[in-house]
Amino acid sequence: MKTSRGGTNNLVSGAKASADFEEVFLPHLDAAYNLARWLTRDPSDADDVVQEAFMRAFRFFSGFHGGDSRAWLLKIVRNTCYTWIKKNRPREIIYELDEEMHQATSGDPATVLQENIDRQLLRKLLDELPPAFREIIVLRDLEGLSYKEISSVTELPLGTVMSRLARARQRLHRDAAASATGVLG
Amino acid sequence: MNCEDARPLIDSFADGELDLVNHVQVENHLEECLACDHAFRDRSALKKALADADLYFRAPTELRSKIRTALSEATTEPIYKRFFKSRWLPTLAAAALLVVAVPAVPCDGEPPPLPNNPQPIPTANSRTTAATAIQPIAPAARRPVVPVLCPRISDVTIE
Repeated sequence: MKTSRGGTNNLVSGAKASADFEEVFLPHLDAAYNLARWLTRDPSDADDVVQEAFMRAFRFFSGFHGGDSRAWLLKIVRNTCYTWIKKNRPREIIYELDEEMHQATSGDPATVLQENIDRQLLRKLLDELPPAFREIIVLRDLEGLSYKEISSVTELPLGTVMSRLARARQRLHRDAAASATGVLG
Repeated sequence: MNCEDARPLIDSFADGELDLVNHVQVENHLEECLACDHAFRDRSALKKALADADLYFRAPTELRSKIRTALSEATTEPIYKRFFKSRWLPTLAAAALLVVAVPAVPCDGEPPPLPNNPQPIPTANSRTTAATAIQPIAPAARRPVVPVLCPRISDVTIE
């Protein structure tokens, strides 16, 4: 097949861009999938969303000038997830943020959690949190992002990251304690 | 530091995200406040439970292959095909349609008279023939006249 010189150059530069992109972003595939899986709550949907997010990231790769590649990719994954959810499950976006900061608990909740919360229950409780709470716990407690990185991914001010994470954990803790004492589920 | 100040900082303290001053203050408060210390232990227990529960979803191996294939296809695809797949294509098409469909605003004719205004409208257009229509304008009332092809009503000062 005859290829023009410009066409060959395009292919070469395209292949190089693809190789560079893979080198920088494919190591974060697990992080991307984990976030998408928790936000979409379905393995097949998470697959689609992550593929779409990687193609978007590749299109915008020229705009990436170094820095935190994981946060950059997760931001795109998150946006792709919300676009997907808005299109396919618009009701999920409507969530309430629990403003309770001081929840009365009885006994020693730490002991309650350690002794009675099993993996399946915790997974279920996390799965049932509103998306805004779920994502912030996933980013911090599962992915290990710093508050600054979470702020970059979610485009939230640092103070909002702090308060939302506190509320999310408060809610999860409350649900876990209630489950353990038989109030829920 | 009292409980009211300490409570909102307990999660950040547990995460090691506080600056040194706040960290020391919260630490001192926890040593003397049982309720806040309980709250801190709650958080630590929850964090540990989340870490121990193996809640992390790892990407399936085939997903990596799928992405590699898609990237390869995207880079070997001719430019014109990529253009036609572009998400900006509908926007570009609509913009092109607008440019073609909307006729240029004629600038040669007289602008329509304003209702309830017997005076002709002075314009910044050099083609205005009625020289008497342009009256001297007091400096305080002057407004910048933007050199556009068609005069805009907002750019004209009427005395």
